[in-house]
Amino acid sequence: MSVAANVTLVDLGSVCRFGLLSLARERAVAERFVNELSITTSSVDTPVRNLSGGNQQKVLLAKALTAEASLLVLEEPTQGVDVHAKAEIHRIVRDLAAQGKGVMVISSDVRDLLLFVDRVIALRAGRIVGDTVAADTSYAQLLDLTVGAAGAAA
Amino acid sequence: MSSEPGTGAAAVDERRRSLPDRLRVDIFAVWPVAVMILIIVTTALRSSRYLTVFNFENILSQIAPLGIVTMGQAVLLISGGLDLSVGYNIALSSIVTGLLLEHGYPLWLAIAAGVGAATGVGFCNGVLVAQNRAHPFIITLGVSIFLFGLDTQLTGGAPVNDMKGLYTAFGGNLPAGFPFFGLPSLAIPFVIVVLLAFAFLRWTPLGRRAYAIGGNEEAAYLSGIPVKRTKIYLYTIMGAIVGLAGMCLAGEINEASFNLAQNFELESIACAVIGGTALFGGRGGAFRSLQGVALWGIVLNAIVFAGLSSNYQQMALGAIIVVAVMVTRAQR
Repeated sequence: MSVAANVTLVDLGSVCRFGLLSLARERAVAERFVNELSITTSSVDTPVRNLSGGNQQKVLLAKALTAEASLLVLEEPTQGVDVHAKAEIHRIVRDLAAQGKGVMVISSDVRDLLLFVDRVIALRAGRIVGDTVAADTSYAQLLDLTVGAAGAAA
Repeated sequence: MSSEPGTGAAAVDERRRSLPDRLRVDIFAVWPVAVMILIIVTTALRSSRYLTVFNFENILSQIAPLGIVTMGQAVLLISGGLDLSVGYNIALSSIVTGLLLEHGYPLWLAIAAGVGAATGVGFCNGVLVAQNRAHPFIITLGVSIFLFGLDTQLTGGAPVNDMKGLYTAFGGNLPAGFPFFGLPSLAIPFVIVVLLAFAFLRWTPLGRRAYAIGGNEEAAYLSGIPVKRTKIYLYTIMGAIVGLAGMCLAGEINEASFNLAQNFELESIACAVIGGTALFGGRGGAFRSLQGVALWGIVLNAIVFAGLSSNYQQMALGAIIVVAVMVTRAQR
């Protein structure tokens, strides 16, 4: 399916007129998200599978945003994404938080996670072993909690 | 669909595709039309009776019931499903209508009951497919075998041979005074169903959800699409289309019997696939499937004009199906 069809899929009602899809509205919504999230695509008609991994991920993010939820849960949002796109996903998440939205990020890429979240809850074997402010937490500390000796003691 | 994060390595940016690449996609999309033109030209050169309005009207009425079913089948294929019960479901609708007419019930009631029965079967198919993880292939096959038994039981094996008002309506050409007068009357429901299928797939949320589910069911579910409910709707609509096809076919040949529409299930799937509808969902369309139906009709007819036996029809159609599948695969 095209970028446009994907972006509007979650909330088809918002692009409908008299119960039928308005393709013009759909394009407008999709183009707005392509600009806001700087999705690199030749057009909103391009099939999503032809996009790079990072841009596919941003399309997913756009889908989640159309739901206009106050809480977003992102699972591995930067997995398989190049460095540039990672930075943009960081920026988008920061923007959302700045707008007052709650964003919960689940990630195994701990080094990357520390770059853009406020609070880190470390899990080990399904139990919480740490709850810290990201700015005061180092990669080494977090690693120690999740797989090292510190977490085993907790 | 965009469900797979981390497919970056395999992904190709649209802009990097070369111009010949894009042109090739278009050639793939219109190959049935090219083959049709080839067949029409060669047959017309061999026979002076071929290029007549009468002959093409003949093809149209011959292909209309299958064409109607193909539109519904295409929608199901796009959604990642299919319906193998259409043949005996068409028969069921014709038998219900035929038996009621035989017992003197009014035409409108007989038609409503026939179409209603087929729609009910479609609803059952939908519920069974939605509630079950088994592939629709085996579920609708089971329903098909059930319907075969039911059809034979209802008629006692003997066909109903007088469809009364239904034959008057669909058995011939449009009478004088009608718009498009002279055209086979079956052309009207056929054209309406094709246009409705096109509009359905392009402009309705339900049609869009069919593409989404067929493209990637898991991703569609995670995008908040009510997958089960959508499937039930789609199969129920298919039932109604099948009922309409049943009325057309029974009216056209003035008969209701269990073998009225034998092989329709596989032929409708074949037509949709020849037109480029993906067998496992996500891609396809009404006009593309119409190309498959048209090629089907043209080939059947041209073989008759070539003076060959109907065995060659089967051989030609079989070959076309195989070529179609290869072309669709190469298109990816």
